[in-house]
Formats: sequence, C-alpha cells, structure tokens
Amino acid sequence: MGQPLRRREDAALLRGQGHFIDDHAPPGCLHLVFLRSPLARGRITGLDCAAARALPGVVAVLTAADVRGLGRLPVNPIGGPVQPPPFPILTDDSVQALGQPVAAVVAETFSAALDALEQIDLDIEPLPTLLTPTAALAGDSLYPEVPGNLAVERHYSRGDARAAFDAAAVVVEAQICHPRLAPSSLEPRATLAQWDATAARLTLWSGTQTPHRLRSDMAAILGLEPEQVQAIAPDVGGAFGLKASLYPEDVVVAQAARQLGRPVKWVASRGEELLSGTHGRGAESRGTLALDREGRMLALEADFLFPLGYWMPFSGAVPAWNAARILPGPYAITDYSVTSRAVITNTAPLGIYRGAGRPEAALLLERLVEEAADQLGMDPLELRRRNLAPSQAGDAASGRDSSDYQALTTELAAQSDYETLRAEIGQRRNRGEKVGLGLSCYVEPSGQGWESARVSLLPDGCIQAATGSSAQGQGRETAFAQIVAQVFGVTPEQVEVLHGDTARTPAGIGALASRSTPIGGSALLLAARNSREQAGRQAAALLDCEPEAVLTDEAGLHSSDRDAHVSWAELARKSNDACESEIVYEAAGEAWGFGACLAVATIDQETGAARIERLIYLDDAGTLVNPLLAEGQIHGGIAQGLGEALLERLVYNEEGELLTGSLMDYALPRADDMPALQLGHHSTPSPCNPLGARGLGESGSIGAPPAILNALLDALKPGKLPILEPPLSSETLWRALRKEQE
Amino acid sequence: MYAFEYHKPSSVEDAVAALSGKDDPKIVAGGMTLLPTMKQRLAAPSDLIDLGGIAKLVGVREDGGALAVGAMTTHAAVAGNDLVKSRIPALANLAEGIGDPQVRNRGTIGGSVANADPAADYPAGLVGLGATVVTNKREIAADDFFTGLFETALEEDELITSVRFPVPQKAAYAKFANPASRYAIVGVFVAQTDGGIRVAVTGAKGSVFRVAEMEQALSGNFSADAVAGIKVPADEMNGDLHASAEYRAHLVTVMAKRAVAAVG
Repeated sequence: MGQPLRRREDAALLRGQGHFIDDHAPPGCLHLVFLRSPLARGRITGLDCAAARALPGVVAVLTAADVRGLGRLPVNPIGGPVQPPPFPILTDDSVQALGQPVAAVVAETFSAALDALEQIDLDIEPLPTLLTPTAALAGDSLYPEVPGNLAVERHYSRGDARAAFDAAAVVVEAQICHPRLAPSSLEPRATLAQWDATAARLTLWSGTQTPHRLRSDMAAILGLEPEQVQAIAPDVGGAFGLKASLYPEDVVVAQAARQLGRPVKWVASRGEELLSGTHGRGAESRGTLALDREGRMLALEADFLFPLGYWMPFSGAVPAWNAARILPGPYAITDYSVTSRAVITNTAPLGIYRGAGRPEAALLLERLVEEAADQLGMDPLELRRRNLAPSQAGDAASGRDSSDYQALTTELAAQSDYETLRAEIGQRRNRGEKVGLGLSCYVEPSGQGWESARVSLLPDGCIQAATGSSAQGQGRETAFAQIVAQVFGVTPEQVEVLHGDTARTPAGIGALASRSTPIGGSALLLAARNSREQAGRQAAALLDCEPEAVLTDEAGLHSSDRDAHVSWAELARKSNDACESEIVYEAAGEAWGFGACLAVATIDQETGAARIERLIYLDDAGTLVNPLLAEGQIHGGIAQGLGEALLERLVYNEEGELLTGSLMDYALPRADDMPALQLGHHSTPSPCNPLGARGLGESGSIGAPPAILNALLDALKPGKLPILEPPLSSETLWRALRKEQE
Repeated sequence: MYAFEYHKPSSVEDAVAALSGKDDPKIVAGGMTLLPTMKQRLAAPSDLIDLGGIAKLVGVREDGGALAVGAMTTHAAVAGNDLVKSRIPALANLAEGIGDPQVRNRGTIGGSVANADPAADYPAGLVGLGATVVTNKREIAADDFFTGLFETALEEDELITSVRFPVPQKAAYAKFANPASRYAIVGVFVAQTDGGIRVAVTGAKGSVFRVAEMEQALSGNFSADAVAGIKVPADEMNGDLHASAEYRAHLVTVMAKRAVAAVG
C-alpha cells in the first residue's frame, strides 16, 4: 500500500497480448452491423430488407418485429423522480435521432454484412427537430410519456437566497454553453453474445463498466432469469462513462444470438461512437452570486438545462442531479437555490462522461468567483480563501466526510510562488502580452452505497481477491492486489485479482462515480481482514499458539517466536475451509475528493491560439493506494479537461446532421497539446470508508477546465465573452480580441 | 472495403500497362487518403495498382543543381534526408509537419501531390519553390499542375515519377494546423528563388495559390512588414467548423509574415 508499483496489466497489454472484445471469435461467430437513421427525426414510411436478406452470406436481418415485446432498461431515479422516454431497441415507426438503430444485418463476414446494409431500402419522412435543450423545452412533446420533454427536474436550496441577493453589495452573473463531448475510449463499444440452447444460457462479452448490472438488465429485457446470463468484461480499452449502461445495440446482439443459435459480434466503428455512443456535457447553465463588500459570498443561484437525447441510459439522470447537488461546492455559502432540468432532444443520448455534472457545476461556480473577484477588485485566490468552508473532521457514525480545502490553497500559493507569479504576469501584460492566470477549487463526491468482495486462500497458497467492481485500464488489478497483500503481509504478486466476470465474482456495482477504490477497495480490505483472521485462527491450531500471536509474511504463517511455520499452501491444504470471506460493504457515507488548480495561459494576439504555459494541480484523494496510478488518473483527467476547454466539441447543424463525424473534425487532445504538469497530493483520510480513500478518477476533468478557461479569460481582459462557449478555439479568441480592439 | 484486384508492378512501364483496360483503376502510393476512403466504402476502385514495388521511385538525388525527390519517397524520408536538410531545409521542415509519425512513414510526396488535397502541405512547397512535376510522359510546372479541388493536370494514364525542386536562396513554411486533423487551415510557403520571390498558400482555398501582391511587395522589401498590410479577399476562402473564410483570410497574412520572418 502506498507504493508506486507499476501496473501488472501492462506486460500483456503493451505486447499486444490483451484480449479485447474484437479479439474474441468463437467458432461460427457471425458479424452484426446496424442500419442507422440518416435523419434526426422523422416517420418511417418504408423499410424493405428483402434484397439484403437474399444476399449470399447474410444469415438474418433483424427489425423492430424481432425485438417487439422485450423489456425496458430501468433508469436510475437518482435524487428524485424521472420520466424516461421509451427504451428503443429497433424502430419501425419513427426515428428520434441521427444514428438510431433501425435494422441489424447478421452475416458470415463483416464485409457481407456491410454489403447487405447497402441493399436495405429505408424511407423516412422528415419531421422538425428539437436539437437543443432550449428548443426541446419550448417544442412539442417527442413522446407522450414525457410531457413537455421534461424528464428530470431537481431543486436544491437552503436559506433564503432571494433575500440575500436583495441585501448584497455585489452581484455577478455567468452564462455558459457547455460543449457536447464524445467520451472517446480507445476501444469502442463492442458486444459478443453466445446462446447455449441446451442449457438455455446466454454468455455476453462486453466492454461494460458494470458487468453485474448488464447481466441483470439483459436478463430482465430478454425475459430470462439472471442465472441464465453470464456477463464478462475482458480487457477493456477505456470507458469514461461511455460504457456504464446497457445499450439498445447490446439487446439486438443478444437477441440475434438467441434467435440464430450462433455467436454474434458487434464492434462499433469510431464513427458509430461519435454518432450513437452516449455524449457528455452539452448543458446550458447560468448562475448568479451575491457578495458583501468584504467579498463574503452570501448567496448563489444556479440553473442547468441538459439535453438528454432520445433515450436514457441507466445513469441518464445523473449529470443533471450531480451538477445541482454538489453546489455550492467547497464554499461556505449559506443561502442558495439551484435548479437542474434535463429534457428529451433529437440527439444522441447523454451519459455520465468523466465528471458527469460535476465539471459543469465547477465551471459555473468558478466563473462566478472569478467575476466576483474582478468586480470587487480583489485577488481571486484571496476571495476563494475567504469563502472556502473551514476544515472539518467528519465522522463515520454520521457519514459526514472530512475536508481541508484551505490547506490546498495554501500549498497552491506556495508551489506557484503566487505573489511573484502575479507580479510577473502583471509585468508581461504591461508589455502588451496577452497572458492570464486562472484558478479553480473543486469537489469530487465519489459515490455512496455498497460494493462486494470475496477474498480466499487458494490451494496453491495464492490469495484470490474477487471484486464486484470492474476495470477498464485503470490498473485496478495492481491497486487491489496492493490492498489485499498488505493485510496478509505478502507481496502483491501473491494476490490474484478477479473482476469483470459475473460467474467468478460476487454481484457488485462496477466502476462508476470514482467509487471503485474508496468503496470497492474498502470492501476488499474488510474481506481480506476477515480472511486473514480466519487464516490466523487455522494456523494457530497448527502452530500451537494463540491466533493473535500468528505472524505472516510472503513465505507463510509463523508463531510469534518464529519456531513454528506453515506455508500458505500448506495452510490451504490442511485447513478446513478456504479461509474465505465474502462481504457486501456499505460505505458509512460519501467520500468527497477535493482539490485546487492554477493555470497560466497565453493568447497569440495575431492568431488567437491559446497556449497553456503552466498547470499546477493539487488533489486530495485521501489515502492513496498507488501514487503512480493516482497520477495517471490525474494526468488523463486533465488531458480530457484540456480537451473540453480548448479543443473538443460535437456539432450538429440545424438539420441535425453531425458535422464532427470523425476524428478529422472532432479534435481530441494530443501529447503536444498538453503543458508540463506540476502535480501534488494531500492525503486527508476520509472517515467514510476504512481505506480512508476519496475518489480521484474524475477529478482532473472537474478541476482543470475552470482553471484553464479562467486563465484565458484573464488573458483576454479587458476583452470579454458574455456567454462562455468552450472550447475556446483560436478563432473564438481572435474574434474576442478583435472586438476589444475596435 | 469493396473487393478489388491488386497489382504490384515493379516498373513504371508495367504500372502504366496495368492501368489500361481496367474498369476504374486507382494508383495507390502510401494509401494515406485512398485506403481510409475505401475502408469507409466511399471509393470502389476495380483495380489497385501499388507503386510500392518500384524501387527507382524512392529517394532523393541531385539533378543539375536541383533536388529530384522520387514519387514514392515518404514524408519521413524527405524530412530526414541530408540533401534536403542542407539544401532546402524549409522542405524538410514542411515534410516533418505532415500528419503524425504513422502518416509520415507511409505517406509519399507523389501520393500527396497527385491527390491535391486543398489542405495538404506539399502543394505549398511545390508552388512556393517553383518545382517541376516529372511524370512518365512529360514535365509539368507546379504552377500549372494544381488545377482545382482534388484536381491536377495529370492524365488518366500518367504517373508522377519524381518532383524536381530548384534550390532556393532561402525559404520557409509557416503553417496554422487544424487542431483535429493537423492538416493546414492555412500554410504559407515563401521562397527567394532565382526566378524571384514566390509566396504560395495552401489550405485557404480549393487549391494552392500564389499571392502576387505579396511577391511584389517582398521583391522591393523582403520583410514581414512588407506583407503585414496585404489582405487577401475572404470571399473565395474555404470556411468550415474550424475556421471561417474571414479568419482564414486573416491567417494568410499572419502566416505569410511568419514565413517571411523565418526566412530571415
């Protein structure tokens, strides 16, 4: 524990020996491809698959008739009621979004499937589209089940914000159009299904973040018992929330396998991902902040409006809920009123892309803080320090987490040599340079509820740790092995980690909400302690000593005087059970990661091109299991945050066509877009779980965008952007500079 | 990808012979544009004639004071070639900035030039240096070669064998890259050649073009200031998600200034 061990996963992955979905090809495996709607909204007036079915190599063409009567995907009603639209699988009456699956061709080869796709005649009568949340809120209802298209509405308030506003000396406003983003995992979504007719069992291989939920949801949709379904997530090439839910495509693949009695595989192309994978962000937000003359924050009002797309994945309501419930963030604001709504739109579905509502809230709040500092003529760091909630101890009994926000801003000031840096930037500005400094403070709540774990001693003396959580490239096998190894006093290499296979792991939640280490890791810690205790008791009998006196190391178990020994393998053979402990651990409360970020940015005055000169990122994720993996998570999160701030945006035109249908137009950050990072960690243990860990997987994408954007908007001064519409492309900044010069 | 017949001739003559009598043959060099297009089923050639087996199309040699770059020479090979680096460093620099390492190790000068992508870098280099495109049939001045959007003076049965670059006194290329594709939103190549100053712009219009006004201004006063006030009209410029026509027109002036400054 606490050691920066290199990832045990990498030896295979870096040699190309990983096994991703497309590497699985059971004998007789068929290939499935989707016919997707070419229009954003319309009525299907003709669908003729006869010519496609007649082509050689084509085994079947599935349409809505083949999936009629199947069940619906449940939607998590997190924080209140949800009014989800129907779960579409294949449609034959209307289409509600570009890329909606209409039919599926199943063929002996991928190429034959593509040939057949071209032979399907699909006629759609176009209907007027509702692409933006504002349009959807004002437009006709897309589904009778969702009146006014309003599917989610959340309010959080305390005190009397209105009264506080009336009494305030300073009121600032911010308005943001958050860019629609594509999660862009290296491995696209993919599903392989195999139906065993004799045993009436379905095996599903999928890149899912939630294998156990995939199993139960798929069973319910197909009308099977969960015991009839096995879900396996093998090596997975990233997910970022994209693979958190079951998709309509998964159901079609499973249904095809069941109907045809042969394995069926679908692997999404990059284009399909941009078109039909869940998108992130995309909200419109506005906020107002009231302060007194000394810069004390009095009240906050905020409003979010999210575009949900045409169907809701399991966690579809999460971004709207998260954005609202984490305000007022790390600040001690006593009076606030926050509203968040999410509406059905004729676009791809909204998912829980890394951050899931938290980045939207952090950006709005941190823009307001920066505006307030400007209006008050106060240093933005000082303004934050005056308003950050005081440190609190928290306690497990009430489930209240601890925090120490001030410590991070103190360190940020020290690490950046803040006063000097400010002065230097001032001098550079005086010389005519467009350079700015941006700050952010953020919180990252990392999940509530439970996770499962099972730890056992295997006959060969290895310790097996099975988790209900899952992994998509985070190095979780390495980290989980470290947790368990420490309890047993053995090396991490002696711990085998099982995850992602519902037949081999206890039922669990999965990798979501930055919860896997705090909750999943704590479940393993407790199961390991139980198992170690059993091992101690069994060994005590063999070693003729008290259980408490048994010592362990990598060789085995010893009496306290070290005269008697038993190896782990011997103990496994001689003991009456496998020293096994299987538990479901429920966290005492929600652990909140937190942090602070400082960015220095310049704008090229001739081209408008932004450059991030420097980025300091301080994070408190409580106990760190493996600092190397922790830094990797922060790096990746910052890269995606930089993408959101400067590069990435999915764009539909007015007809609902996707203008960013490939990576030639959707700009992902590359290595040379990244500044050198200066990272630092605080480790305030959380009382909410025995590991003391807080989430950190999403933190970089929460804290980096506001600091980067604040730095650029600082550099732009006295120029302004009345509505902030990231990414801040070079042309956007050039236009803003030109306007300022006029 | 649709089915096609694959040919790998070992001489230019065999390649030309392979072209005749085919339904819809296509020549493939590095395949950096053609293969993705075929994979997406947006192109369906009946025959693919791969020039990768013709050894004499690869390499850089001196040719009467000029540099002749074989059509199948990759961007990475041009970027790393000592002759190019010492005689026309601006060309090595241009090649070094194309795409990414994978593209540079597969993509070729002949393929890029024949494809005539409006945002490709090489067209600016060829026109900026006053190069000559050498084919199996004739020699074509770069000024006459690029005729429009993905259009060139090449005939159906004509193959590029090399590109001959006269060595300039000085030259530089300044590119403003598309953040997603890294193609040129605007790229300006400026050269002082025996035939005078040349300013060639790629990325901004349907095809590479020269800016006569800038060339004249630089002939009198070779300095960034001389071009700073020269605006190109926005009405013929490309406009897309990443850069409007107006912004592109502005960038032509900025990149021209930077190229001139880099020439020194």
